[in-house]
Formats: sequence, C-alpha cells, structure tokens
Amino acid sequence: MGKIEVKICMGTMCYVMGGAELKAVVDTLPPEIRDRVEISYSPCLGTCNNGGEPPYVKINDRLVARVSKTSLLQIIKEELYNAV
Amino acid sequence: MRVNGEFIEVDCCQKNKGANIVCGDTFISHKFKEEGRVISVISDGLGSGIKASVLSTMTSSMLLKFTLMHEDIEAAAATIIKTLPRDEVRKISYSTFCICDIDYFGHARIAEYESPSYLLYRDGGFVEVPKRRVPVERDDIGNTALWISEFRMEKEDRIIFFSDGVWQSGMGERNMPFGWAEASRDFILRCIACKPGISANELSRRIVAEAERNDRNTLKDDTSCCVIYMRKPRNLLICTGPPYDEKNDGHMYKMVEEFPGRKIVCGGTTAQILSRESGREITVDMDFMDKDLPPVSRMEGVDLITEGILTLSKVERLLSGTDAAEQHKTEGPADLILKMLADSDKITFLVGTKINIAHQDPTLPVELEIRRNVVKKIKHLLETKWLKDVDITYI
Ligand code: FES
Repeated sequence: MGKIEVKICMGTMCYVMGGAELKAVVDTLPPEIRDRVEISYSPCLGTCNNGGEPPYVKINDRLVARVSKTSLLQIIKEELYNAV
Repeated sequence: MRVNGEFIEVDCCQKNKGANIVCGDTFISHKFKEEGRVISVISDGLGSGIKASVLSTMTSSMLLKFTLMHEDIEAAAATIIKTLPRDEVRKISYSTFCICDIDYFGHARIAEYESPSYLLYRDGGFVEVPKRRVPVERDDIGNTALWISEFRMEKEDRIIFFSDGVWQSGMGERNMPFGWAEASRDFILRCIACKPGISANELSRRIVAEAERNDRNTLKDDTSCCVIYMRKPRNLLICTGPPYDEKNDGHMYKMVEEFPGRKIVCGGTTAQILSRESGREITVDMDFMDKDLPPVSRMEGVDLITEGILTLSKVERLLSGTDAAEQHKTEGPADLILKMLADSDKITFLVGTKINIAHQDPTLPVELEIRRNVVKKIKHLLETKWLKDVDITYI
C-alpha cells in the first residue's frame, strides 16, 4: 500500500489564513494514519493571488483550497480510503 | 566607509553596578555618513545612579557636539566642566571621559580626561602612542589634565577604551588587590590571539564579562567598554520581493549570485524566482520554528531563505525593542536574520517593487503593509541603533 503525499503551503497568504495551524494537525495524527502519509511543506504554491482561497494543501496531485484544521484530517482520511 | 575600503566597527558593552537600574557611564557613538567621520565617547559620571548618569550624559553629548563642530577640545572640556552641576556632598562637578574622533582618511584623534588610558592594538601587541598633556584649569580640584593623542589607523587596528569599572574590577580580591589593571591587557591579547577576527561586538562583551567575573559576578562600579575595529567590511545582502518587471528576474538572480558576502532571501516568491533562474531546488526546513512565522527554507548558494513580509515585520519589531537580540533567545527565522545582521557591517537590501496583489486585501492583518516601508524602518534602526552601513536598491 503506497503512501499519500500531503504538501502544506507555508507561503505568507496560506500561513496567515490558517495554514499555521495545519502543522499542529499533522504533528498529532494518530499513528495508524501518520504511517501512511508523507508530509512536506512548500513555499507559496502560486495559487493564492487573484482571488485564491488560501490556505492550500496539495494531496497527491490534487490542490485543495480553504483547508481548515478539521477538514484536513477529513481530507486525509478520504484520500486514504480512496487509495485502498 | 573609509577611503581605502575599510570599515570601522564600533561597539560598546555596558553593565550597571550591582543591581542599579541606570548606568552612571554614558556611551555615544555617531557615524556622520556625509563627512565619513565616526565619533565615539565614553563618559563616567562621579558616583553611580541617576546623578552619575546625568553628569555623564551631559558630558558625552556636549563633547560629541563640540567635536563635531571642530571646536577646540581644551575649550570644550573647560566649558563642560563649568556647566556640570555640582555634587552637594563632595562640592565638585566631575566626570571623566575619553573621546575618539576618526575621520574619512582613518586619522584618529583621542582626548582623555582622567579616564583609564585607551589601548591601541596592532599586529599582536599594543602600541604606545605619544600623548600631549594639556593642563585643565578648574577651581574645585587641582592638577587635572587632558591627554591628546593622534595617529593614523591601519588595517586591523583596534582601539579599546573603557570606564573605571573595567580597570578597577576585582579590586581587593586576593589575586588582584589593586584591580584588574594591567592584567586586562593580557586578557585582551589572549582574546584576539584565540580569535584574530573577533568583532568589536564580541570583544567588548568578553571584556565586560571578565570584569564582572573579577568582581565575583556583581560589578562594584558601572562598567563600559568600547571597541573600535577597522577591517574589511562583512557584507550582507537581503533580497526581498519580486522585481517590478518580470524581465528583470534574471538581473536580480545575477545580483544575488555575484554578491560578495552572505545572502538572505526574504519572500517565498522571490526565492522561487531565484530557484527557477538557477535551477536549484528549495526545501523547507522545519528546524527553526517561531509560532508567529512560517518556517525557513534552504537553497544552495543562499545562506537563509525566510518568508517575506511577516518575518521582516518581526525583525523590525525586535530591532526597535531595547536590545532585543539579548532579551530574545529563541531560534526562529527572525532571530536568525537578526543574528546575521549583527554579524555584518554593510547591509544591502535589494527590494523588488512588484506589488503583491494578495497583500492589498483590506481584510488581512495590518501587518501586511508594503515591503518598502518595513525595509526603510529596518534601515533606520540599523543605522541609528547598531551603527551599520545600510543601502537600499530597488529593482
Ligand atoms: S501562499 Fe499558499 S499558495 Fe501562495
């Protein structure tokens, strides 16, 4: 079973619009989920300008806008579910 | 900046007597950019506490003004002595001083009044400079004099001068009944021998720390030490913001690449432009965290990459606080920048002026003000508080 990739944007916009809190979420993932995700951080993904909806997270190759603390966990779970 | 491309670093470390909250010594240093002059004064007021502080503040600020106007030092000293308020108990008005004026060509002129003699370090030892004695007429105490010396500063020269607190530290201790005095010279020689490039900042701190140790960690007098160090400037480039016109991206990359010194990039987009132009990859490094700031990143060829506007604003806040570098011992991105700023003499900001559309949204925190203003404020603080040479180039 492959891991899923989660890339959290740490650019200014995403960071102030809630991205800062996402680190705490991934740091406290339950171990059974933690083992199956590959977490990384990225400078501005370039999608925040011109009416974008930060914060952004990239899950595998899918870009998700307006991610919140609760939705991030949800999205990761869904992605894992789809992966099986 | 000197005519021969050398830089003059001036720094002073000060600690108060015991638990006093004000320092009876005053240190002022000013760089007069247009004239290329650096004037530095330490004055030690009689006694300690507020009274001493008033005396030394008056003395040093008047001296600075007089010297700047090329007033005759003897006349200046006489005027100052007459102006100072008299101590009720001792019936005298008294403060000692040492003032050092270095001009554009590295010509130094030092006047000392009743202060411990300054030291001139050159090539592994101290040089004795002949001094001219100028008696000072005053009615309260007799037999005082000014000592004037003049010389030409050479590369890697250091001028070190301090208040009594250094010279007399440890007095009464078994190993130094008359205080640290001459032995302080050996200590300074050892410090420089161990670390030949030791900055004025570090050397002055070491000397004061040692004086404190001599006094068993509770200073018996206000203690100040000023070090003036002439050397090759340590350059730092801070590149922030994408160029106004995309066509200049390559130009910006070239400027960063060819800069002779250390480099910081503040801003994700800016870093990405450099990454694209150079073909080098950026990785986010979660090791240096600060809860207020996005993390730093790494890329070959650049010493540090941080987020832009939030980080610079924090640098500005830290700089404007009182001696923030010392109060603040965290290892976040802004602290890393602060440390690099402290270790540099000449700082160049390369500021991209493209307006970030995202930051114009009025619902965002006020902190996201335009980059240029923050950089200007930082420049001002660095020049006035840390005596750095700062330039801003817009692109
Ligand atoms: S800051 Fe996240 S996409 Fe720009």
